[in-house]
Amino acid sequence: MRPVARSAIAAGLVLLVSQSGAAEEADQGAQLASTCASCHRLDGGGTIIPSIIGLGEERLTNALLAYRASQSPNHIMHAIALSLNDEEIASVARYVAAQGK
Amino acid sequence: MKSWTRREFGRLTGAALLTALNQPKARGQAKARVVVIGGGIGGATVAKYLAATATAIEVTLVEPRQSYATCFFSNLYLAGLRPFESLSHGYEALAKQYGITVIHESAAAIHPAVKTVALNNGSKLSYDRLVVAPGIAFRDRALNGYDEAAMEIMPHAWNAGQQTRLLRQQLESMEDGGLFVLVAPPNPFRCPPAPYERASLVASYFQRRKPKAKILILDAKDSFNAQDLFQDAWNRHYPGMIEWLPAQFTGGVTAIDAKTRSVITEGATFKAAVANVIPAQMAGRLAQQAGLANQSGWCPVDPVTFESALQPGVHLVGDAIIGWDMPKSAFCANSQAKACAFAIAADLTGSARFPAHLFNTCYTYLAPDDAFSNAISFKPVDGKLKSVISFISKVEESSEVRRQAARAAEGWYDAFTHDVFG
Amino acid sequence: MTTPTPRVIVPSAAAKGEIFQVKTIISHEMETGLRHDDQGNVIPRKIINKFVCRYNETVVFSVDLHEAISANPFFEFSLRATESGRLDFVWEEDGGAVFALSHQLTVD
Repeated sequence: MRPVARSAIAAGLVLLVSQSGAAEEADQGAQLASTCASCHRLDGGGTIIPSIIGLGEERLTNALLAYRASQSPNHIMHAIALSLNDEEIASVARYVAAQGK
Repeated sequence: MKSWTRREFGRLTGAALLTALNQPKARGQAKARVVVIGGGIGGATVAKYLAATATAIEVTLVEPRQSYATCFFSNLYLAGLRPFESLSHGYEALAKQYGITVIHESAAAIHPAVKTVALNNGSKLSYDRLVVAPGIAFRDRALNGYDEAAMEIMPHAWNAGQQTRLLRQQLESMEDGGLFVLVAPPNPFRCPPAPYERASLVASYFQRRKPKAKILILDAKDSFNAQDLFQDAWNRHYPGMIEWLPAQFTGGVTAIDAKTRSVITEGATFKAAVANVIPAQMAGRLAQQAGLANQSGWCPVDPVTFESALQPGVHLVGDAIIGWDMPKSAFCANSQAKACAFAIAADLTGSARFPAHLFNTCYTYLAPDDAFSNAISFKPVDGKLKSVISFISKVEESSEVRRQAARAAEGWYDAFTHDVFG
Repeated sequence: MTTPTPRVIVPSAAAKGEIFQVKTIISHEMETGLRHDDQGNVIPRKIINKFVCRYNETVVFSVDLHEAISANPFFEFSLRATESGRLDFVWEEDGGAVFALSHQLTVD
């Protein structure tokens, strides 16, 4: 086999792996977001409790990091955010942000 | 029945929805069957999340009632602050939007060895996995004289429905100056703060309509959930109206005399104008009959998959399980149900497993504009579900913070019931 | 504020020489004087500071209470039945208010 072809196959493998990695991250996001749905309607509806739909990934990530850092202003979101590691915050933020599109 | 794909459903409603998980094992195979018995919060949530995210699974929900009335927020109805209809939720969305087969029938028996469920109408359902969410039953002979006939005179109102309406009627027709006796159950029981929330909200109703009425709580315990928050609120909002007597003083409630509407404790008898008797509890009847409960009366489960420790292939969620640190609340049932649905999906379809996040969040009303909240997260530790992070409102919080919590609770009710039934 | 409700559970008859149980409770918030309201003002102390039980005028049980006692103070104690007569129970609150109950006991 010529080296060029071999590297092409290798590149294909990398692509496959990263696709399944992305799918897995989406599944993790979906499972974590089910927790959000107990209080935040994922269809963007609802009253009084702020919607998390249409906020964008960065804003959601920053909000979760801020909630994780402090009990104020909301001890419910503090408890939720404290249970999430960085990777989980990233995948739930990405998933929820994608729902708004 | 047609099951909508995520894309089709999104088009149908124009709404964001739960996404189907990747289900590698399921390709090209016959659909796996999951039967869910019990359309309360736990059962309905398992059915919905399985149907929406594990599209390769066929989901059947067995529930005799046409609609479900929530116990949570039923204390607001008792206080005249919410119509009963607002507590009621149908199964149409679960059937139409998620393709769940909803059968309005009672389950008569479970046969785990051959993986079938017998229904009361004589038909049989086969399953690959069974989920049982039977809720609670009252312990037999927990209180002498408290039989079905007595319940029609001194209601428990601990399953929302006719009993709740009966208690409301009695409270409405009670004369000013009457004594409302509330018998609070021993641990563990459905919704730990609820008897005391009920006393608080009934007091707010009395204050408006029957200011000379009194409330006496006869407890089977010597202390109760969030006691400092309740006692502070009772002194602030309803001075002199609510009296609480612990078991160590009365010796505990031993009997009921429905004829005289009296509650009999070891040391004294209390005659009520209206009595709400909440008896000791255990897992629902079906769990007892099917051998899913142990000597404690509750159902032991695996803390990750919620599979029964006594019957393989059968999962349990909600009030009926031994939840260790998890209280028997609707929020916990909903949280367990999601973890259970994802675990079943992983087993049957090969979808990815992730550590579950289990929570309890409760809003509890002390007065119509004064509520407190708590938030607890749980993790499986050494085969048990342990509380790892826990916050609760403080006694010295400002009235503005409490007002906001009372408003947030309304928003939560809308979102939560939408998550379960919508 | 709240009018405290005192309660006792005592038998109405006992044999001479018999030891009987007395249980007492008073619904009282036992405000410690250490808390602040939501405006930052100290909530003044108001506790039951003394509980006394007399059996035909003689003090048979007495307790001084302090801020650390939780709400709704409960006492359970035993007495020996010596003669028929009256049991008097008195709770004293900060500021001088007094709450009392009495109970007839027949001894034979």
